[in-house]
Amino acid sequence: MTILTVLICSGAACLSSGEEAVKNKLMTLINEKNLQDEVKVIETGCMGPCQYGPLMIVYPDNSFYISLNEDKIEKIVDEHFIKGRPVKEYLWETPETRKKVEEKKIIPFFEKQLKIVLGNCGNIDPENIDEYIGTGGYEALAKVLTEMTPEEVIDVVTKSGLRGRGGAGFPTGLKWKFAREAKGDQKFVICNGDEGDPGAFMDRSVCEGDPHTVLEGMAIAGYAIGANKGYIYIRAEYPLSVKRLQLALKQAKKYGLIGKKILETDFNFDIDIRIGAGAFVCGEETALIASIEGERGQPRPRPPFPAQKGLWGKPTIINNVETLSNIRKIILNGPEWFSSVGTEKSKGTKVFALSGKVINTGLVEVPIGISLREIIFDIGGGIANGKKFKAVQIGGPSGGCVSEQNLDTPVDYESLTSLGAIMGSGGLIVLDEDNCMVDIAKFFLEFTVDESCGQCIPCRVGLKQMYNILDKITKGKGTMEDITRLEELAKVVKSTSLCALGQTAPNPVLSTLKYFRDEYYEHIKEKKCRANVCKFDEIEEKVIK
Amino acid sequence: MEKIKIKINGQEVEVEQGKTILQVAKELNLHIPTLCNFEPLLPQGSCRICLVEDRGKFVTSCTTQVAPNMDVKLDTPDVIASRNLILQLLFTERNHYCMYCEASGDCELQKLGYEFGLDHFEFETYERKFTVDNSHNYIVIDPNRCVLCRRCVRACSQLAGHNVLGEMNRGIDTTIIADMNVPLGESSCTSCGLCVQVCPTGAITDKRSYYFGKDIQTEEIYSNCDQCPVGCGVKIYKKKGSNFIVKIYGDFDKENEGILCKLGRYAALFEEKSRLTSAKIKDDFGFKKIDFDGIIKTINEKMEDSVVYVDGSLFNEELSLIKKVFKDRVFSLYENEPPIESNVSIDDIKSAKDYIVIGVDLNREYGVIGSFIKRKIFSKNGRLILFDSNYNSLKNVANYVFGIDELESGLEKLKDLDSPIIIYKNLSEKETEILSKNKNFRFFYLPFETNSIGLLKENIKHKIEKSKNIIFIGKNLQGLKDIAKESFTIVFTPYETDEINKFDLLIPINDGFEREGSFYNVDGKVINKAKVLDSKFETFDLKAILEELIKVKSL
Repeated sequence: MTILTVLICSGAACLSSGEEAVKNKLMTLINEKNLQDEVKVIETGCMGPCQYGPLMIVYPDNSFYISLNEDKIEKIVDEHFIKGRPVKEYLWETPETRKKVEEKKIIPFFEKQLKIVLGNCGNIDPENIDEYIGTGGYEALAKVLTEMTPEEVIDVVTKSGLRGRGGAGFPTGLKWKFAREAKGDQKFVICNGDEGDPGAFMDRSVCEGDPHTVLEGMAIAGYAIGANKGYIYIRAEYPLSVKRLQLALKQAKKYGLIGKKILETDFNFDIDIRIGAGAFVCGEETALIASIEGERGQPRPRPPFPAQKGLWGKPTIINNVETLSNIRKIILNGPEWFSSVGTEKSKGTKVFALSGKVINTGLVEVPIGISLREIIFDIGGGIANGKKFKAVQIGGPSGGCVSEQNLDTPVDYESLTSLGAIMGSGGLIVLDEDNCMVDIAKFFLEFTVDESCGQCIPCRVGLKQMYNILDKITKGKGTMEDITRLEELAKVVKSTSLCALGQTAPNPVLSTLKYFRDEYYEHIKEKKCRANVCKFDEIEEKVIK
Repeated sequence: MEKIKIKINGQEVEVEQGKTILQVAKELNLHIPTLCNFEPLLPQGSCRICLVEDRGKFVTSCTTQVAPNMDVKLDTPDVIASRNLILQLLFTERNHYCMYCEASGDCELQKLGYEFGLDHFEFETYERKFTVDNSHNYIVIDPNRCVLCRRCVRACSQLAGHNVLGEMNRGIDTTIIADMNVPLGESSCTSCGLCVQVCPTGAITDKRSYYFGKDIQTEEIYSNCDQCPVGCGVKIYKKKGSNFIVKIYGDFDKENEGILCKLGRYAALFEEKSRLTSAKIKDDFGFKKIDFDGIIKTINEKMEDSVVYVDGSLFNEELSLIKKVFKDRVFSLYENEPPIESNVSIDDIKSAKDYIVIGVDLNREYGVIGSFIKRKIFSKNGRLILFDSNYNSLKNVANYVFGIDELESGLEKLKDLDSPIIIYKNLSEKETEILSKNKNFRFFYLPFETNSIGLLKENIKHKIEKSKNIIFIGKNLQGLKDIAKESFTIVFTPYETDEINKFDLLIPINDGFEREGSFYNVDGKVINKAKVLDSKFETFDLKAILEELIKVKSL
């Protein structure tokens, strides 16, 4: 009889911090001590606090072990599994009180989170379809196929207020409606898993931890718009996601949940996985379509929008992994349940990849409308090493920096945009006094310069010229004119670029200019970098003199 | 088309739905500057020069279709400032110093510079040096002059269907490449030269016209190509006041849609065969020169016991004069009757879905027909089935490839063909029989020579007859040497070939753009060709000799 259930995190972060060795040791010990019948070990997807990996939860005690290694496992097996005493010193410690927390559910990192998308991540074995079905998986698909018309499905999604989680926040129900109404003998559903923002890993964690929820969301979307073919576009840099999605697809097909005559209805829906070669711009929907078509991955002008003319000219919807992962719960629990969470215009939850100078980094899911302060100081545990908070960068290279004074702003699409940042796909990088804001702007611009597809002039050349100016400033050679020039360029690049990459790429520069302008001035006038990041080349100046 | 009302510059106008803002503005005589846009190509909106404002938002006028309630403003201060800055950025990206550029004067980027009054660089120019690709026989690619408008890439795939050009790298490192980044000269380029024609700057130029004359120094002559029976429309740029063609472009308003093949674009510019430079007659000591009167006299003497052979390079006017002089003693030296008559036209080729090509390499011959088919295959709107046992460069493109001996079994396997067009040149009797059986098939015959159809219209058929004297008029001397062994042979031809010394009287005639006339193309339409150049040699106008013969005879 199973007495203990052990969940061990096998997300990519834990894997890279040595989960495999820990698991092997655990299995060896269980075999050695003959505990096979008493201890059940399940490998799950991402549990969240990636920084402390490898992670392990032991039920029924609810003990949350962190930063494991083989020696620790030996002790845990001896003390906890055999003698029944959780090993306190290996448990989670709250940074404020330095106290060991004995039960996972009262850990502050998890307390303020609300897990809808990540509900199964870290709780089930992603490689076993039965576990997914055990949590109510594919029930929503069954409900949709047997009890609802496509219009009703779209209606429910519209009422829920779900908006695209890929960055732009377009209402999902409306997008589906357009595709449903578009005329075409063939329609497509594309799941966008081309998560390219540096430091963002929300979609990866969902695909690794709960791949079936993505498949189910896609099938429901397919039924709603009248498509019988779906593509998952995922980065080649995510081999584990690809592997788990492929496995999930195989299992779902075997169970008759994907493929022909799903659940013995007349609905056919097949899914293919397409692997991207790692170009950031392929996360842009028209570039993604071009890439699936086998063309060079670069954006096409919109309109026509994909809902009218998408993949191979057919009506297509493109939804982000996280968006599609919300679908099944909306169907099962109803639109009111979903819209009860969030703010007036933005409903539900949002997953963020919390990183940078906070104590607890990792994957968090919070109700929309929570303040940035709560995310950084309550969930993230505040700034590491007793340093002072300076800014938080939201939305990756397309986003902007938010300063201390705006930390109490509720996190939703509109508020963040008004601050000069964007919700984006969910990267959240916390910066402290050791970060130079000019350097940060340059860092993100370097990324977009490198990732620009090279099609339109403002993005291709304009960003490079902006980068050159920032480079000058960080080397102490900037002039006040450069600031004017920078703003002029940023304005034109933003308003005239072909796709969202160029239209948002100046955001890091504009937002730092807005909130940290004095740092720019210091670099130019005083040749000083208050964070001591920029090295001014004084020797060269002397030689010239 | 349905009409809708929109506002342009505050004025309410009625416009056709489905058109772009740029097209509508053009019809209203309103100027919007453009760079990457090129009318026959699909717009891609990458240069952003054609930006206009619609209800507070910038849109590219080349890609945005008019829609109800639009309020378009073409020249707001914001629009002008943005265009200006974009142009500034473009000029600083690569080497756009006009004074050393071949395209200076004809360059569209330079024109924009003048239009916007650009007289200095506002930004640091960062010199990125790319290697110039000089590997091709006719074409030079200089990426340093490139604005990455991708007209060449689009023309190469969307229009010409060759899909040779593409892009490499991202951002500011983006360059135009051939195939998988091989030198153009080693690539699958068929030298159709359309990229040269569409390039707005000096990035893609052709070696012959390089520094030989700007558009302003040339006169444009519209004519047709006579290299093959497709008869493409061409635009010839002849240097003013000189006997010299600078370049030949495809005519976008003709059936060939601006596309040419290597022959059409470069054969006249790069003469590879050596010309017969003067008339000569053989006597016991070898050849000696002969003048016009001598030619007339000799032919007149030999005419009685003579047979006349012609080939398909002759024009209708020439053929009718030949018939007038030599009556029914005129034969075609080569087989010129189609195995199966054509029943479709070039337009049908453009709209068909399935093509069966039998034994013709459309990349090497009839190149423009090849373009029409290949672009449909690449855009997945058509299928190509190839029957050829020899080397055929279409094999890389075809959806199905069979040997010529598999014709019957191959067709058996392809049951779902949608009234396919059979494209062929020669067919054996057996092949003709197999193909004629199928009622579903449509036929497109590619005549062997430019005016094969003209020969038939004049009732000149293939027949070999022995005679004391033989007169040959044409370019292809291949079949002549066997039948001319024991006869006195008079040859009218433009070229000096190895076997030419076996014949007795050699009369050089005008060729290429030195002569004018008409011929029947693949569709049976009469195609006219203009005279553009004067011959540089002591060559004769065939028609003048024939007319003189008629005159002499009637005396």
